[in-house]
Amino acid sequence: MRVAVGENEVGENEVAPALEIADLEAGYGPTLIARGISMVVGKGEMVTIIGPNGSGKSTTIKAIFGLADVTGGSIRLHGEDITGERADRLIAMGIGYVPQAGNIFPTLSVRENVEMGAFTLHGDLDARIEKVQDLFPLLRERWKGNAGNLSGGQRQMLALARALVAEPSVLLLDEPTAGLAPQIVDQVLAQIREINRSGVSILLVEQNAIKALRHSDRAYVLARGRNFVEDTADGLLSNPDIGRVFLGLSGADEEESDV
Amino acid sequence: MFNVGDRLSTIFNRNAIRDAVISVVGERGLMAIERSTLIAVGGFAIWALVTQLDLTVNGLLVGSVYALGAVGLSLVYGNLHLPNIAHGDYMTLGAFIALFVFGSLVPEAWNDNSVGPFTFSYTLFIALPIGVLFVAVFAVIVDQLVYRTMRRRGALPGVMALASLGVAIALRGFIQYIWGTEVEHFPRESKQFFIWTVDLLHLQDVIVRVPPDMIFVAVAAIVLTFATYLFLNMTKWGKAMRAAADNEDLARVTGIDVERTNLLTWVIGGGMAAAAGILFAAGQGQLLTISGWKILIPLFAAVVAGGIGNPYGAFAGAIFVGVIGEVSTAWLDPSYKPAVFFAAIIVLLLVRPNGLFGQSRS
Repeated sequence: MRVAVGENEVGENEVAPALEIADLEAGYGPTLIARGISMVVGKGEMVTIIGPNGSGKSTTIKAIFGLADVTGGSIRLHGEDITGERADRLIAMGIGYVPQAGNIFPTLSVRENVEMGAFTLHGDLDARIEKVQDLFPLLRERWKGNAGNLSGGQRQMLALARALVAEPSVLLLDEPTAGLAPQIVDQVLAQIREINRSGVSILLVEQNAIKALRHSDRAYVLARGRNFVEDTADGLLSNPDIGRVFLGLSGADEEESDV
Repeated sequence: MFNVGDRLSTIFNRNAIRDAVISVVGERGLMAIERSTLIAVGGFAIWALVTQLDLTVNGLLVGSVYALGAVGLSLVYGNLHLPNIAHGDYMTLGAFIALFVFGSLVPEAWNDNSVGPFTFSYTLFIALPIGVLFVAVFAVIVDQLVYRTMRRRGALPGVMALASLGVAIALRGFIQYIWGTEVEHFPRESKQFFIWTVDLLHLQDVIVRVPPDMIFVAVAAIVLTFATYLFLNMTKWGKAMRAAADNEDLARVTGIDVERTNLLTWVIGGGMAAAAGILFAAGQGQLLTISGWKILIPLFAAVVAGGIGNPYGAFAGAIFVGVIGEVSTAWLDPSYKPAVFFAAIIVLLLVRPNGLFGQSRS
């Protein structure tokens, strides 16, 4: 799927990265969770955020969409400051978001779910919807049925489809494989990588760290609301310390743990 | 009002009763009991509906008036999670506004020029849209003054319901202050009922009498409900309203202006309430300041019966409640109607805990 960046309001600055988060401090009310997180997603990159619970992974993504309170730092999309922007503006500027839980409208049809993804856009939607259908043939089969009747994996596909119909240049995904069966996890991650290869920069939060890393370019490891380690995905997978502490690997059964 | 079905099935612990019965009569015995009960109840219902055809037909018509009110009530309940206790008084307000239009704006048309077989004059068609518009705007203003503030502070549905009780009482006081507490009469000409004689299987003649106005009201109810259906399913903002009702947080991050879908909900809910109040008063020919308050019981019964937050379910629920209420008057004094409504609802919810068309949202 070719993403028509030209339609988005933010012109692609040749120098600036797709997404740049600097010294982000964010939380919920009085509780501060992200305590100075910085990360960069280059154009066309797929970047994974991993780390233990409460390290600020989801909070970072939520802060971009105004679901966590930002108390410090800045967020830039193609060089333009988008800190504190409203959701409809963000979508118009070319950034998409798929939340972790409850990421579909269950009593709406599959088609209506996809249409809602293009709610803020004007003009003819048929061409966009056609593209999304081509990308997810499984959804095409369930097109008129209620989204609430889809399986877990199909729901994730639908959530991705809903975000993609707005043709974002950057896509934020909060644990897209949570609660899915192992075979489906690979399928969903492979699909995400495919979306990435079509030109969408992706920032992904994942619990299935090893599987996610295998599909990613780079990763940030967070701990206690701060950056801990930053490396290429291959680098992290081959780093014995990181493997033991964050990926649940114990040297010998590194390969087996994933099968 | 909340999760009545879940509560009841917990109180009666259906599985425990089921297990106890199975231990005595066995699986097959239970199945036989269930089947014969169903046949007995169904048979009785059909017998009652057919032999009391007059009441059944009028129940369908009364139910369609309830439907107008219940669809709006259910929409607000589903989209804003507010069991709006003031809904009945919104109906009363609409009817009084219509009466004001009849009386002061077009007094010369008070009694003349009734339309076709109906008792009301063409003025109803002027008063109806004015009343609808007025109450729609009124509902939006009340939302901005009262409910929006509460929503922002994360008020629970029960607290919102109590606030709507306050709105109901204040609004009724306001209506009584302006129009007094006397019975008001809607302008109408007396007309003949439509009368049909139906020969039931050559056994007995049943006379069905229908006031023409009720047919008008029923058609109006069906048309308005269908229009609401079309709006919710065919238009961008209608779909957005359903999306916001389904998952408000997701609707927000999808870029849907949830404040605006809330206002739209009030415009439709308030407008439908006004239409219901005006048509109900026109059908009855008279209006009291407590008319709307009294109709609230069958309305909530209809909403619960249809499955909370499902507007079309509310329509079916209203027909169900209307027919049962009317047919019961063959044997019971009409003042027992509210008890009949709720007895029927309790039985219905024991069988279908989410109502006729309710689906659990996941």
